[in-house]
Amino acid sequence: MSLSHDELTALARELPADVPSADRLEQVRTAILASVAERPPRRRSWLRPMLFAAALGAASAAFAVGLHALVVRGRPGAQNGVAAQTYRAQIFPHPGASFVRAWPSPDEIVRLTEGTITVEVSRLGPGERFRVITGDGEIEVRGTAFDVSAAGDRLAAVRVMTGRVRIRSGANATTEIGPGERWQARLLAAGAPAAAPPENSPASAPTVAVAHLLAGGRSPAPVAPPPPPRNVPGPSSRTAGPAPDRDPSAPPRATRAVETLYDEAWGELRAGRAGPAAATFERAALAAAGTPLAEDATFWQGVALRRAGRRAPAGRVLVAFIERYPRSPRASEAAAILGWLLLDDGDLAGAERRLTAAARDPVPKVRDSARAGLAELSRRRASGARSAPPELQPSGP
Amino acid sequence: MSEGKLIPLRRVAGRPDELSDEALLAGCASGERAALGALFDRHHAAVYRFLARVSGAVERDLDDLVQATFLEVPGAAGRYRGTARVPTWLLAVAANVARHHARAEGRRRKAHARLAEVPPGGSPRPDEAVERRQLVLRVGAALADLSYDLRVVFVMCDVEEVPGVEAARVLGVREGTLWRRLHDARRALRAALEGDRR
Repeated sequence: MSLSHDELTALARELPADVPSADRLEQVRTAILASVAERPPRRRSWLRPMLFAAALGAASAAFAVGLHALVVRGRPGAQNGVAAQTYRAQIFPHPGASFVRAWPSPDEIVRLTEGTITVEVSRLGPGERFRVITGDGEIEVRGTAFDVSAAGDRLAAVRVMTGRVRIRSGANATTEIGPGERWQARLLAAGAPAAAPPENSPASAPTVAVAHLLAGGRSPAPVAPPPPPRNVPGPSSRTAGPAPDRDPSAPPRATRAVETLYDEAWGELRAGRAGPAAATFERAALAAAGTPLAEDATFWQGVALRRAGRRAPAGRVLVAFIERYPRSPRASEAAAILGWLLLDDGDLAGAERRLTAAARDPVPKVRDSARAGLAELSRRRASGARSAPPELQPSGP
Repeated sequence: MSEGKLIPLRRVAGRPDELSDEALLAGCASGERAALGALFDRHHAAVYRFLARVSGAVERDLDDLVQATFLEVPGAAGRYRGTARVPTWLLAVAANVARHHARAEGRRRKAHARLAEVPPGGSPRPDEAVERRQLVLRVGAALADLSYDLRVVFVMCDVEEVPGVEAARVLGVREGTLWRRLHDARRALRAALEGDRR
């Protein structure tokens, strides 16, 4: 058999080299971006071609931003000009608004605790998301302009100017509204779809995913603790409807709701249902934002994800936990678990950093686990071999 | 007065989907995750394909290699000289990652195991499709048996159709060396297939 060059090449091209499924691809992409977040940026070299390309990009971006600013100047709700530029959106806060940009692209999250913001989201690329979340709700968009109001960290109203938004509030079903429509807690405006209002009951657990809020950015902005729910000032009267009525006993009820979630998560974890437990811890962490319970819930979310075999999300949550609560009694424990994760993923430098930090912990179990990790790391450096790591089993309440 | 906390966001100068590969690479060099994400979105398919053929890795191992390749990008982007297109440069980064991969003993065992699964040359072929599939498998086995340098050159130039001049630049070899390696790779592959046949 004598193959020609073309035949040989054609056969080689038929070798299986399929791009993986969208899920696997997303996992890889997320893992890459999460890992990069931990690395300090390198100094840019003085390379003419790169500078030239960057200059071209900057010029085109400046032109685009200028044009964009002209377009949005007259848009309703844009009272204060451009206030905050995120990767895919511009946010115009109304007087009294309190919000933070909690998580960057590709899964941007803006955390709104009080007042009204007008958001204009440009068209999202594949795999990108943009969400505004409150303590009890979530608004997701695919390129649109809308106002969203919160009172006392609860979603109060949404008004869409262009595009469509999906609203998840409390335990209620998802609602979608379109241009000119308005969703309002308790009182529905004319023309809006029949959306049930959020309920002030322990059963109305937040449905927002907190992993992205907490996970991974180098210096995620701290979420401002929600203001006291009593005497909550109403949102802008122009855009927001009345805030949900609040009983004077709201704080205890909210606390009970969070504790219920936390207990529920623990029940799931004890029953070996690590995946659901992680999701419930996540909700508890969000609902308890700004309180010590959020710290615990985040740590256990990372542990539950690890036990569920979801290594990449577990790593992200643990990184976020360590960065957000560096003085937590659990910080070293999280570092030890993270170190083993990184070790198993072959990131020896990252593993060494985490395990070294954990090896100084006064708790023998944590210290021993970290030292065992460092010993394993040395062995792997010497041999290049990989073996299954022993998992540090944190002790729960 | 607004109490909104404004968190400045470092960003690539423009939308990733509007930027050139070179601009995205510049963004990666300055630590822009969004630029790296955009670069991944744009070129992951080629990197997957290339690594699968060069390393023989599958599934999770292949994911690890692709991940390692893109994790190298932020650090290596500063060394990009603009002498080759960014996709070709990415393949060179992937080739380096694959070289390290090939050194791991465990990976070698897997590669050998894969060879063992290749059907023998004299197995019956009920129809042309089966015959073709067997031929492809033999090419894969022969490719895995090539030295790393020959394999990379063959996959980069013949399979991925990277121009020889560009491939020589990103691989850091002279053009003459590249053409010699390509010639040797083709000859070795043909010889392996003919040997199977006998």
